[in-house]
Amino acid sequence: MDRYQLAKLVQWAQECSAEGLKSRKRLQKVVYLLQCAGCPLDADYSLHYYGPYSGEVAQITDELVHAGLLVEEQTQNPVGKQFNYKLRGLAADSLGVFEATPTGHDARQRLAPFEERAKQLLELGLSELEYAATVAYFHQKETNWKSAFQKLCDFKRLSPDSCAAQSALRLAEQVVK
Amino acid sequence: MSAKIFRDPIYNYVSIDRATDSWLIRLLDCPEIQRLRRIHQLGISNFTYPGAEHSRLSHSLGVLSLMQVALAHLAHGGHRGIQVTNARSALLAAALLHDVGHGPFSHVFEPCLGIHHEEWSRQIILAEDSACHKVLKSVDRFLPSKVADLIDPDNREDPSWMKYLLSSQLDVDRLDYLQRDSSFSGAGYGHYDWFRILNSFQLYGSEKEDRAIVWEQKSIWALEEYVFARYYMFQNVYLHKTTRGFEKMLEALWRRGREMFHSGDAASLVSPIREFWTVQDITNYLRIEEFTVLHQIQKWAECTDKFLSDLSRRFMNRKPLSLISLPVCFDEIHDGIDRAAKLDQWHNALCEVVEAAQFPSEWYCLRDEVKPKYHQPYFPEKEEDEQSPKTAIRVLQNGQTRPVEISMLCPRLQPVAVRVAPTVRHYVPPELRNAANELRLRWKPT
Repeated sequence: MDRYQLAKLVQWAQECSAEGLKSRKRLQKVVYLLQCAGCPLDADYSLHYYGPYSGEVAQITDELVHAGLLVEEQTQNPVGKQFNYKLRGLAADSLGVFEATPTGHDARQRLAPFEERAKQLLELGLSELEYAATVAYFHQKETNWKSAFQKLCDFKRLSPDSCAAQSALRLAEQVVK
Repeated sequence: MSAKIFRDPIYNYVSIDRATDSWLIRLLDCPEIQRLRRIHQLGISNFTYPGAEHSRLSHSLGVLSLMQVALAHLAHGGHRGIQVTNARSALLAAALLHDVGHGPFSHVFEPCLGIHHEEWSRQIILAEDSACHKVLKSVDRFLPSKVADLIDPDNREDPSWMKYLLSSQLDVDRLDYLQRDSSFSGAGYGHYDWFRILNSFQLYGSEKEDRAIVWEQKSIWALEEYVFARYYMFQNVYLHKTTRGFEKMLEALWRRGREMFHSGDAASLVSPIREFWTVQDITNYLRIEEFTVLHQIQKWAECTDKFLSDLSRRFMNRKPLSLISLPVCFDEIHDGIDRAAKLDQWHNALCEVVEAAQFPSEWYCLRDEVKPKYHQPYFPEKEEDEQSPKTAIRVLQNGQTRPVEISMLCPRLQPVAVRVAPTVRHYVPPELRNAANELRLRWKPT
């Protein structure tokens, strides 16, 4: 994944909501699910306690903040801190400038088919994203929805009949290419 | 019954109690572990630091020794609970076996063979016909799978404190290799008070919870010293520009050799390499030794492929490629969202210089992208509510009930915990250094 791709996701999030991209967990899971849908983001993921996690995505986010391209806002939620992101004006301008170049145009074209899916995912709840990304992760390892679903239920201690587990499975099945 | 004692340059002695742990001596004697004696812990860092000749075996023994210290501390520190007692064998075995899947030259050679050592470690431990599997099974029939699970990064079933001791930002693996690599390389940066670190932690949380490891307030200076030692070692030893150049050269020549194999030219391959590239199983994997790799490169040095033989000769005779830094416009703050595209442009411009001199850029314009995590010795893990907080270093201050992440207590750590952009550098033949540097001075992205 590169800086442009991450900035583009934040821009899409801002188009959905003026508050921008809310929480790093949302970013992590949306990137993962988009990759499962075939979006060429190419971030490395491993399994953490809250589902698939990419140090690379976290790294690029912090790099963009450090470079003054993203604004990071910290809020408190019931379980701890949450970090939200928006593009700085400078970054929004340079996105436009870059997309006007031939290389930027190509980069834009590669992401364009996934814009609608990305916006749909960005608006979902955090738990739904976490469970869907987790079952999709197990599916990538097992290539079998039944055993991936069982692993999700064991891993997250969910009842297989619960709405949360069932809707995560439906979402993952829709997304995974 | 006396203990089995090994002399060790870092801890003076490593000992295994024959009365309680004779199985560890049998484990150590397994061919899969003895093979680690023939694997350089620091890959090809001895190209730059001639003293860096130590092996994966001495490191594995060191990790075992530190795990013994950590477990003794838990046992003496009021954590004699059943969970700790049951975990002992698995943790000691995992300490000794955690690197059993390493191939020649350790991490350096993984891209050449297209492998990940963790996966091979698990396979070797789980293979019923491996000697180490048999020893583990003789202790407890579930021990092979317990050990394999412990070293599996995707496994989240084991208690956090066990995973932490073995694989975290302050685990016994790092505590050993930083000291050992520092000592053998002669670089001398890996000094910290490991004894205090391993004697001042505790399990946080009740027996019913997934307990985590936290440190006592009195250890924060030792912890700070450890993080800086890690930073200095990466800057000076692990990321040394000359070593990295030879690593890239090794990858390039191996890529070329593999390409020739896939196009049907297997004649110049030594048999263990040919067999591994044909069937990737444990038997074939364990037959690839460092001397096999060097023999292969010697053969390639005499082969008819001009570029493969040239790269092989440069490698064997230690003739480094020249480092070309990024043009100044890549200042990390001011470069923008299109950094990746600019890097590609710069790479293509350098490739043109290399191609113009009749060197194929695929083998002679080598891009080295150092992941930022290697410049950042410690990650505070800000997303504690969203991800795992279990690998960061946390301190329980006197009189407090909740642990605090250490960079909040030691502000001096914050500058080295900042995320930076990946470092990118290129290597080209020395005869093209001047031309490449001239281009570097005048180059601007379009």
